[in-house]
This record gives sequence, structure tokens and C-alpha cells, in this order.
Amino acid sequence: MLIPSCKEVAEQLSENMDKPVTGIRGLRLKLHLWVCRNCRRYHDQMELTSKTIALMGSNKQPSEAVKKDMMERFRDAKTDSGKESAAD
Amino acid sequence: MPESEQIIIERLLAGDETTFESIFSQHYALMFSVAQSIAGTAIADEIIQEAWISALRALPKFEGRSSLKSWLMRIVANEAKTRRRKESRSVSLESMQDNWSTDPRFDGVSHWKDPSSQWHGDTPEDLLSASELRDCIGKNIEKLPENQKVAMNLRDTGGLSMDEICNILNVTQSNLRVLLHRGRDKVLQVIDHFERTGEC
Repeated sequence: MLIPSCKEVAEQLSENMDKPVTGIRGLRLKLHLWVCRNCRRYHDQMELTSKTIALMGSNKQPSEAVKKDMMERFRDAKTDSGKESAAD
Repeated sequence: MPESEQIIIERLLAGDETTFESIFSQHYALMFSVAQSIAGTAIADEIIQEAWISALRALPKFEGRSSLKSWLMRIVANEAKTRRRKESRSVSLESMQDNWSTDPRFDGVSHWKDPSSQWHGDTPEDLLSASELRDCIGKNIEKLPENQKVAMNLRDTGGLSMDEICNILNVTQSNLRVLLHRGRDKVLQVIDHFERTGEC
């Protein structure tokens, strides 16, 4: 088939975000998007979804307790490696 | 290895607490989401701590064949898998039926039968301004199969390259493309359902 189906395009749109679909596949994809309003909308929404996932995951920060605990373990690790070096 | 990473590593090896605190905070969100995706929220912080201890021990041998970030994510993913095995935790919905092949949104010739609706926002900030939608997305991401969650976190949140993620997850490029597409498509459907009905 010259132009891929909407379902194939939906799969290729995610792929295209990570690595541009090129060559004849890329051309067919563009052609489909040119004539299909539903897939153009899906394309925009797929990009927005990916950015939303990114935003949701990027806000988390460690609690003060976790940070304090981790810093203590870092100091311990430093002391242990100092002892190991001295033993060498 | 980039000079900036070389400097960070030298400082960490010298026990520089300010550098460690900064790097720990910088990578925390992504490490947390990877640990959480694989082993659950309850032990994610413990896993991150163990991963950092392993990383600090191995740091003198770090050769910079991958980026420091990618190396850390591989360590946290391995640590999370080990912990999950130890605790015999079954992964939620790992065997979730994937209905992509019989997706009711498409008709018999794979064209849209039920396309997505027009959404009210066109930026992530717009969408997430509705706290119900934010909670709904979070809850549904939790239900995704582990490998889809981790792939999305590493790619969309962490910005790691496809090659780096393939190495961490031990999957091929084509498998990774499928994981990313299915995970993102599921989240897209969750947003679309909320946009249509106002409900999760």
C-alpha cells in the first residue's frame, strides 16, 4: 500500500519522535499526515503526552531525611575507603 | 569522557560533599522513577541509596564509555531488579493484556473509528493544571508494565539516548520502540478519556 494505515502511522509517530523516520517510510508518513486530520491531531497529542510524562517525572526531589541519610552514607563510604587506602 | 564529568568524578573520589549533594539531587528524580517502576515506591529510596553506594565503590573504575547519568541509571535498575527478586515482589500488571492488535479505536482496515478528541490545553503545564488529571496520569502510569514505565522514564523524563536505554534494559531498538509507543499511547488514551468525560 502506498500510504500507511492510521494504525501504522500511530506507531510510526512515536518512533519518529525518537529517531526521525526517513526514506520512503518517512515520505509515506508525511503524505498520510498531510491528508489525515485525525493522525495530525494524534501526532500533536503524542508529542504533548511525551512532554507531560517528562514534566511529571522531573519534579521529584529527595526529602530532607533521605538527603541527610544519604550524606551520612557518603561520609561513611569516604571513611571506609580512607581506611582501605591506609591498609594498603 | 567529557571534561565536566571528569571533574565531577575527581571531586566525588576526593569525597567532596557539595559535589555529591548536587549530583545526588540532580539525578534523584530519574533514579527514583526507575527504582519505583521496577520495585515499587516503598523501597525506591533504599534502592537509590544502595545504588549510590555501589556506584561510589565502582567509581574509580568508571571509564566513561557511557555517560555518568546512563551508568548510574544502569546501576539503579540492576539494584532494583535484585531487590525485587529478593522480596519476590510480583510486578503489577506485568502480564497485562496488550490489546494493540485488537484496538477498538481502529476499524477493520486500521483507520480511525474513534479518533482522540480536541484537548483543552496545548502545553504540559495546561494539562497538569488539573490536579485530578495529574493524579489520574500518575495512577495509570503505575499500572503500566514495568518495562514500558522504565523505558518512558528513561527516554521522556531522563532524555537518555535510545542506545543507552537499550543497554540498560537489555532490549533491541525495535523492542524499545514498541515499549515507548505502547506506554505513551496508553498515557495519551488516559488524557483523552479525561478530556472527554472529566473523569479518570
